[in-house]
Amino acid sequence: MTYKFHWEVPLQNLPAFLWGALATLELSGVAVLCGLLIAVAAALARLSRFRVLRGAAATYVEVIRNTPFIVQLFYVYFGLPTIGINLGAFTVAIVALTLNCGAYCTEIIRAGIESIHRGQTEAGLSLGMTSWQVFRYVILMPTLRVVWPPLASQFIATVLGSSVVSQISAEELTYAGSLLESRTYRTFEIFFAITVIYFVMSQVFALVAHLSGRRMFRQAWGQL
Amino acid sequence: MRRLLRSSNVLVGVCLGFVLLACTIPTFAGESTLEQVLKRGKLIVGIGLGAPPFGMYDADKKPTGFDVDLAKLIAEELKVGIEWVDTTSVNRIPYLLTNKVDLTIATFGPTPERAKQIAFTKPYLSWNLVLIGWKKDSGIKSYKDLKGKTVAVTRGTTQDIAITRLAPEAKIVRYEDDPVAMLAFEQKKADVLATAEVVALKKAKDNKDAELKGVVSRSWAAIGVRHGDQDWLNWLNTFMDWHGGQGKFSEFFQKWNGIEMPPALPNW
Repeated sequence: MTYKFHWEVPLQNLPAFLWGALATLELSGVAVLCGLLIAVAAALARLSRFRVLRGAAATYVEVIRNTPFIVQLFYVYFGLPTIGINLGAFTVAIVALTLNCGAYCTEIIRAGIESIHRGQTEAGLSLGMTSWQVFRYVILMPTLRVVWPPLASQFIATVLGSSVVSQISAEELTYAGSLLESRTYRTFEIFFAITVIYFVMSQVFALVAHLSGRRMFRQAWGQL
Repeated sequence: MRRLLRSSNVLVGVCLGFVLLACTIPTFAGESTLEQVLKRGKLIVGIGLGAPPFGMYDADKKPTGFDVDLAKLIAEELKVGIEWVDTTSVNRIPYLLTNKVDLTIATFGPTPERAKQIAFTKPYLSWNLVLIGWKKDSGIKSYKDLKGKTVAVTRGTTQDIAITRLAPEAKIVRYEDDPVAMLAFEQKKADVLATAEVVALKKAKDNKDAELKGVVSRSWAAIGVRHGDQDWLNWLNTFMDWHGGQGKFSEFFQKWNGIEMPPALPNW
């Protein structure tokens, strides 16, 4: 006698799963976009002439990269009320995930910027480009083009890492699954359904990153 | 497009692998668990050690608590040793279904929905679900006053199920385990916390700003076993009647909770 599967449990609760999947996409989508902006700023700060900026960015990156995500999540959620900032679980989830994704992306982007030879900046300036144009066309876009694949895998890591935020009652896919699990005890069926949904979401994220990268950097190539 | 096709192939592969793996999950080996335990000379107990005072570690890292005492009493009756397997709320069912434990004692709340998946013995424990809130929120006197209020619970517990049913207009925030739900209440993430009476009483004693906001409902806990093993279930139920009838479980309750066990079942 073997285990009898009851696939109707996840199937009947499909709306809850889809709602959870949307919440996960929203959460990780916002975190990835904001994290990318933070990462560009922090990478520039790490390479800045000013010691204070370098120190601040280095501290941010090292603190986040050397502590577990769940600890960061708990600090933002349970720690901030102590100093009078009491945010909702979903907001905290977005903030913590953004900070986390931002720190990892910072290192990726910094490595990319460092790979661009100084001479290229000088060449740009001597061609009469403004420093903004040099930053945009000579540094940023070529950097992003090179580091886009590692960034994309960081984005996927963010989608999957977002499963942890159910710990602070933020409602997303893992939350929807474990809530249903505790009501029905259909652990195998429910976690199987979640596995498939995460897999599909990661693939969709990878595809979007791939296509958007191709579109963005075709333009970058043209400018170069 | 090729990329998309390749990833869908992988997905199909993953699904097939998972189904094949799951099909090999045995549920009942044929010989009764009772016989196996006696032959083996050892009872393998799935236990939840993250739920004081029911299951926890003592200073010597040894399991202790109400549930642990119960397991020891069962082993004593069977004249066998014990092997502890610490389980969490998510893995306790898979442990049972994959024959890794003989029974699970983890303050399981027996509900008809859950009983479709595993079998429960008669209950060994009953406790009151209460609300704890702040004295300054004088408007909240019982679960009927929770409209628009935020209630912290531990996700998927019988507390969660009861509050969801009884206070449909409350906003329920669900946390992974009891200590986190308590922390959320203390950090004002929720107006009230729904928890066991003994936990709430202790909190109200430690924190003078907090007070009990009434009983919500009565909950039970039972031992979980696999479906299809009637001999084992019968033995355990006989054990329950024998010791429950003699007030053994009320004694355990008093010992670990410091209060009297609320009356629950007619035969107790």
